[in-house]
Amino acid sequence: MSISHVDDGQLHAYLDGELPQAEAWRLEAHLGECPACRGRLEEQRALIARAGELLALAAPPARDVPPFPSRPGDAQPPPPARWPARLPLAWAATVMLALAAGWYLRGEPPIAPAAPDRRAAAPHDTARTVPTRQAPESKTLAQQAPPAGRALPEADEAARSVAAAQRDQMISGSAVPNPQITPLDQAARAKPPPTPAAALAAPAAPLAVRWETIPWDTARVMLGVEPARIPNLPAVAKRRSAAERVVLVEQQLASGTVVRLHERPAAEGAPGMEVGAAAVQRVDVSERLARYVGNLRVEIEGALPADSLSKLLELVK
Amino acid sequence: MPEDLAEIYRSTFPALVRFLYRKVWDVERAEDLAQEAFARAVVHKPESVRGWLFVVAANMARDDARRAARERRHLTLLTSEPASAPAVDEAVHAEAERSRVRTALEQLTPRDREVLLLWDAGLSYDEIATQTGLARGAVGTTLARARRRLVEAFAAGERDEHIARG
Repeated sequence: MSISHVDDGQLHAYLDGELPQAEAWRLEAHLGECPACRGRLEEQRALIARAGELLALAAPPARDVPPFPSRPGDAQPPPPARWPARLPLAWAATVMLALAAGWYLRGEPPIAPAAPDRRAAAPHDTARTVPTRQAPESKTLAQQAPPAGRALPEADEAARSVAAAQRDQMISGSAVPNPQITPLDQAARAKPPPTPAAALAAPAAPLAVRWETIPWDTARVMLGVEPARIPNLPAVAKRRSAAERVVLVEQQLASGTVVRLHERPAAEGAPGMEVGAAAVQRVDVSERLARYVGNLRVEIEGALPADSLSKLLELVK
Repeated sequence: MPEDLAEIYRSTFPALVRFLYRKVWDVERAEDLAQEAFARAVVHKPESVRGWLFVVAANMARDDARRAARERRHLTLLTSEPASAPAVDEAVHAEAERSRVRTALEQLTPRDREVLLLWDAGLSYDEIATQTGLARGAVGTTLARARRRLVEAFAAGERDEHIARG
């Protein structure tokens, strides 16, 4: 072949699996007849490996992927210019967490490991077999642990964090959801829930009208077990009617956010009930966030940061 | 597209943190910025999310470095510790290595460093080209130079230390 010696850039692109097919063939042809360039290929391969090693040394300590996005920086006042963006972001955060956790709770295996996926996506790569990417350490999928993997918190700690969250919310001046949330809401719906009609029809306004308060003992008898609730918070049990064996546990946090847990007897099919959908999650445009944990429908009315929500869900589980 | 964000978050977050970490050298700060980038992606809904995230992250890291230069934690272990030989504590050792790599990285030109970090974060040549404005054909050349300089600078740093230590 008439190619003159190859340059380092081509060798790197080749070794990175990024040289277009035609060029790669020409390069291989040249390597076949040029020992000098074969030697250089090996040098560059070693160089790439070494650079990868060094970068891996400078990798951050491996940590779990946090829920999206808890904001530990909130303690320090941010620069004033950023204030207008904060509330929408907090909401986006909550919604995002709901998406992420919902996905996680569906119990499906993670789709595809990130790195190979990318290689496969590049069209000119599909027929290639030769070079794979160096620096394995820096690419470990171990770092890409699934989110929402929080340790089980103590009960009162969660309650505290919820309360703290409420304070934060008050400081930030408003609990009104931002219109920014709307596209996400659509996104949440776009992920098809098994029984969308039921999920959409169920929760909204008539709660206060149709649900009657019942003694805790009655709720316990209805369910056959102790109804789920957040510890250390006053709880009210309600039911819609004696026929429908669904218990609603309502708990109000200090600043008005209401957490509702819908629960039915474990064995019951209850067709048509919103709780029948196993792991649906959806987000309402109103100040209401509804999630399912297994059978249990968790509804939160009012603002709650992502952090507290995840703790809450852990608790409820 | 937005429904993919959760998945992208899961698969890309560690890479984004790694990328940012090598700019701000503080893992918590890096995570903060990475989350901020995702939060902005939620609002902006960019066309190609991954590429966009890295651009935004790089900008935020730069702003952050300017604004919070004083708060930045410097890994001064090497200069402050005479490295008592028997105390080859794993953590101290790792910290020292990291600091050395950091020093070596800082000797690269900004463009070389950017391309190297983007590649290491998992971006393709195409994505890197789009983001840096380099021609696609120049990415390999840039990477070749960046890698060589990194390895050389690191080796030089080691030599200097040995000399300094006597």
